[in-house]
Amino acid sequence: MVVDYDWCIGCRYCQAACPYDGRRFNWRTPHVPVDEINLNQHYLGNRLRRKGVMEKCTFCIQRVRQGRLPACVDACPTGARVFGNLLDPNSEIRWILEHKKVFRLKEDLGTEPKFWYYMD
Amino acid sequence: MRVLVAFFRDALDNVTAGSLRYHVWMGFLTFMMVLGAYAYTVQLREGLAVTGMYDYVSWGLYISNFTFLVGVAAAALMLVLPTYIFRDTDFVRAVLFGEGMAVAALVMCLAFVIVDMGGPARLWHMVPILGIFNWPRSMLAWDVIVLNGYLVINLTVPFYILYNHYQGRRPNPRVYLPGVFVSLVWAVAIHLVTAFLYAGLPARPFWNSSLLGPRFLASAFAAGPALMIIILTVIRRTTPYTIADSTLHKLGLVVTGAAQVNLVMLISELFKEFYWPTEHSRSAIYLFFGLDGHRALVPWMWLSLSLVTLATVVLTVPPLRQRTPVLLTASALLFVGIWIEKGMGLIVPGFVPEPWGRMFVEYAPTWVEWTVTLGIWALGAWVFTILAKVAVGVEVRYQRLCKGDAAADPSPAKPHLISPASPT
Ligand code: SF4
Repeated sequence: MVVDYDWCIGCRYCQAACPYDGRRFNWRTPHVPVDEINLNQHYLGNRLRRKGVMEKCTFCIQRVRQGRLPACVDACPTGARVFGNLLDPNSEIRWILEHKKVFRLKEDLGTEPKFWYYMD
Repeated sequence: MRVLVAFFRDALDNVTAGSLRYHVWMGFLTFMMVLGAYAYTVQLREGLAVTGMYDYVSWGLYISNFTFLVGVAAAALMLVLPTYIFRDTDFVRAVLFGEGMAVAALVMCLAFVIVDMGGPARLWHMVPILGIFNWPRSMLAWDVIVLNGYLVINLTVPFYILYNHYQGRRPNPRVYLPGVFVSLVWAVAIHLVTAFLYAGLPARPFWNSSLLGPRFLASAFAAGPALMIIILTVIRRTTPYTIADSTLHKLGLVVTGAAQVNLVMLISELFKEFYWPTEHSRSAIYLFFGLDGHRALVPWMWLSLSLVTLATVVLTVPPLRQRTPVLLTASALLFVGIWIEKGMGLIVPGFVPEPWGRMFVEYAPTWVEWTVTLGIWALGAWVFTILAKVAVGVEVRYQRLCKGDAAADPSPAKPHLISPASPT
């Protein structure tokens, strides 16, 4: 799920509705030092936000669409994070879901999050 | 068409002329609105960061007032129903003001929603056809429909009646009664839909309750008519328009009934939260007793509880309720008590503790929020004063037309003579 930063009116209804504390609002114009701005931006992903709009994790849509992994998965030194295509029966993520002990947060709410925690 | 122009010209003449007290009052309201507008420009420039809201309490004073005022708007039902449906002659002289109060409350509601938006300039994104109106899936889209629809009804029905009285004609019930019927259903709908906005969020157990909607209605039908009692008292003291004591006391009866039901529901809510507190009761604990040393809302909530209980008890005793000063005081106490409870006492604890149970800084409105809020209340009072003044002007004139020679005696003994609802 992604937010269209040009379309959001900033009502924050989604923030009230989110049981996972997954949303962040731009209460003021976000500041990024000029020399740190990534010019390679994606409309729904890593672009500069404006003030008064909602944002959330996009699983790095700008990287994933190019077949790369989200930045946090790449950066994780222990390889604790696994990202993959749930629809592909041969993917690593499907293997983990089938062979490891997994759980999701707040299953009782019926939100079916696509985010599992796993352990051995 | 000419009559229409004349109507508006006369209305304009009417609202621009008045006693010194009237001008001071309107000047004061305008001043407050300008102050509010200034604070709003600060918020537009800097962003919502100038409010006390943040990611863990993302709605505050604005949405609190919005929620409360939806109730005030819905309360017009309690005047419309007896007037047009039960043809109660005591309510006839008050109903136009009830509808005016609904219009003013709705204008405030819309203003509170707009100042709460992060991108008010992008609001057209939810206008059907121009943008995407996510109906019927989004509860907010439902709320937009019911609020605006209710505004239209409450503008057109009284306008039709006043416009006919202006021309010395008796309004045709066949024209306005359908509007009245729709408005009855609609009044319940606006408050129920607004309650569903919150009750439909399982993420916030404090709101996720089936009693929320009915409780909204009960408290609204107490607070709205309570405000009406106060307003009618002011109108009959400051204008030639006569309102009988019996009208005030019948309204008092409405307030009493609603306040009693409200109290019963409150007790049942308290029982559910505190008899066996679960993880989901933490918001209520925060609200009434404080949580982890955070207790900003506690004094307010106990104040509200005492005001509501005291007022309800006093109103329940007929000899007390029938004394006008007591009725007025109890109405004022009840109104303030419900404002605290159905405003900040409802919205803020919904966010506390946050979804993982953590506690952060407590929300406190900033000067920008208070100033904008006062400005919007002034806007509401301004709108109401104008509507009421036009209504009084037209009605007093119509009263004279109807009574002919008896005009010198504007006794309310036969209120049905000027009744917009009088049969045939
Ligand atoms: S704040 Fe959330 S619910 Fe509101 S318009 Fe933006 S994305 Fe949609």
